[in-house]
Amino acid sequence: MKNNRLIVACGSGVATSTTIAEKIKRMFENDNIDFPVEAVDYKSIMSELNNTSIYVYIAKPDDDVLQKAEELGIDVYAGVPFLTGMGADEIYTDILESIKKYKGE
Amino acid sequence: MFDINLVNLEYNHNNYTELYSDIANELNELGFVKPSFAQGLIDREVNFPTGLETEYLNVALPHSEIEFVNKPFIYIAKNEKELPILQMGDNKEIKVQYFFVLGITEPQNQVILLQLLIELFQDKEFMVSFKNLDTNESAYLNMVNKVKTLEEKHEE
Repeated sequence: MKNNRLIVACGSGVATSTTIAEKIKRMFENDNIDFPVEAVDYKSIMSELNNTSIYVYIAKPDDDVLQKAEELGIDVYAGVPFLTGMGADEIYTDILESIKKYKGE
Repeated sequence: MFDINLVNLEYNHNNYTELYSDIANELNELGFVKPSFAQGLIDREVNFPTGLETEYLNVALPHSEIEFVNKPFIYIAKNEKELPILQMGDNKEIKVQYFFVLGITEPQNQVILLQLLIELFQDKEFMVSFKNLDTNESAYLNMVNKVKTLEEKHEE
């Protein structure tokens, strides 16, 4: 499977995306889910999308980014709820569904 | 990363540009950042907003690219008026009075502190008490004690 990866993108790949990526990694570990998670810089998002299956955004994605994600069949989720705690559980449940889909389960 | 000199609850600016410039000047004088930090913060806020609407309190997490920062820090600021700022993720306008300015030099190593900060934002007791603090010292001590408690919890 070539595209099995979740990316978290914020403006610089410095603070929030790293934090959220670590948080999602820990949640995966707790649930025994083996799926790579990486924090990336929004400025390189167009190339990062090429080998990604799930995209969690912190920086609001531009229309061309969303269009490319759709063309590539990438599932896109809001990452801010993982920072505020509001709505994070629902998004995490959806992410788990996406992973099942990508793993063909 | 917390420092009693890096807490100021007495700002009274009319917009975030003024506030960030003021905070950046102080940090520059204390040697934490380069003089270009102010512009780094403002550019970052324009391109990638840092406001966050949490359940108990709206906050912003202004930060810059790592090249403007000399040593890591968290600066806690309160502005008398609520200032309009855009929210991360959806660019919706929210009103923010509390700013946690982040000085990040090594993202991989400092992410733990950020995670603690995010836990704080979700802690009702802390957030509600934080709103009622009126001196820099009490805000500083409240923060440091809470972070210490969380760190101990994580070590268990």
